[in-house]
Amino acid sequence: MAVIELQQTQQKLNKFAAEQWDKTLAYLQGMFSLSRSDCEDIFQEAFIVLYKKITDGEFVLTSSLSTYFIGICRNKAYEKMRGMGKELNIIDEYPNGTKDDFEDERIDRLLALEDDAEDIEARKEAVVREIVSKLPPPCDKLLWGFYRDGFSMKTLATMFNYKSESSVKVTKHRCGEKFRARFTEISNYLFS
Amino acid sequence: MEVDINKIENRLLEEDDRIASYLKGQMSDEEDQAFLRELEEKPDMKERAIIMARLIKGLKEVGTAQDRETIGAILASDKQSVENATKNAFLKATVAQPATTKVFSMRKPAAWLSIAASLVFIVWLGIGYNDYRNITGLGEEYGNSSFTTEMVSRGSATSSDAEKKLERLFKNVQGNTDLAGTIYELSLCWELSIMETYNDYTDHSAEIGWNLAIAYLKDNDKKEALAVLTKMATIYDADNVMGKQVRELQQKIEDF
Repeated sequence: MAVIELQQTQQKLNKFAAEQWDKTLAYLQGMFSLSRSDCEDIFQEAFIVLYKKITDGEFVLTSSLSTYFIGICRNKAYEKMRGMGKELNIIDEYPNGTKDDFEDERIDRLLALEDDAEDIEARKEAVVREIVSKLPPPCDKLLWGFYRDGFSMKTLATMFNYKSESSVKVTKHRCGEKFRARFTEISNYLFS
Repeated sequence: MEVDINKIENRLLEEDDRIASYLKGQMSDEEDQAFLRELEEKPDMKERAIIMARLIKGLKEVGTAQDRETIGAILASDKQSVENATKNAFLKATVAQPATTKVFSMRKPAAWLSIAASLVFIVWLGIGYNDYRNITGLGEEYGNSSFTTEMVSRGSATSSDAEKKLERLFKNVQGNTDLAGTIYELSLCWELSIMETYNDYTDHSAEIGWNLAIAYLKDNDKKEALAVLTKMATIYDADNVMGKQVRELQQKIEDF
């Protein structure tokens, strides 16, 4: 592999690792009250497990890669807690793959209610992709966490230090409204 | 009549839950039908349901593309690269942690403090005015370059709506007309023009970026002008005309 390609590959790995570390630390400390150093050990071991699963070819992705990865970290955390002889009375609403996924068919059914021409629809989708790639905090954590990674409100509240499930719900709702305002603003400008 | 904001928000939160339940297929057939009928009766709820569907679809598409890239990177890597990535993540997080702030006790008399504050304020006023003149002066100086004055469609009868819109905005920048409104519209056009997906503004991104930077300067907003120029410098190489001009102006602003 050429040097530039190697650098690009390492950059992609670094980006994924950095994003996952922020989430994993918030999740493990919030749910299991583990020390930072324990979280680092778990994170490193989990990354190697993910690497092996992908390179061994036994990897089937039924959720987002992030959900899958944090699932490995979660299992490692349970192992660690058991090893430390700690009681496991954690109410952990961790997403389990496809069970709670949003269904593509239903998404398309709602989108069809708008009745846009095909080319306009494709351009609107492109606008959405741009907006969701650059969501500001805390909307990036909440919208990605809830809609893509499948975390419950309760888990998100614990991860990101919200007072209650309803505070997350309200903040997430406001993020949705901000997204709507931004999308409408750009769409009106571009398509009206 | 007084409107209870909390009640409205509660109603919207409940609607959010129901839209999510529908999209997850958690409703019975009858509930499904009732939900779709309700959307027809409530245009606002229908719009929000469509927006939520768009948001989820967008997150899925972007997320899936990113996941594919990551899996590809992992497949092309060895164990050492993976270990390096985790170490880099820890390092980056440590660097990003805020330093602890020391608390000093304030023992100086209030009178001395207020005198010092007044002196600082007077000096600041002087510097601020000088800065204002320098920055807006740069806007005037560079605002006369061909990139600002050159029109997009050059008066062609076949110019598109987007081109007509841009011509109006560029004229506003030149004539210092409605700078706040023009900056708002131009920043939207700029965002659209640098999107990865081709759109009506893509071909005019250089002129849009330049005019936006000039408008910010004329409005004495050095920080935003620099942000646009910095972005432009990543797009246009130093050896092309626009790239040169961008870097020159960037340097002059930074020198103040």
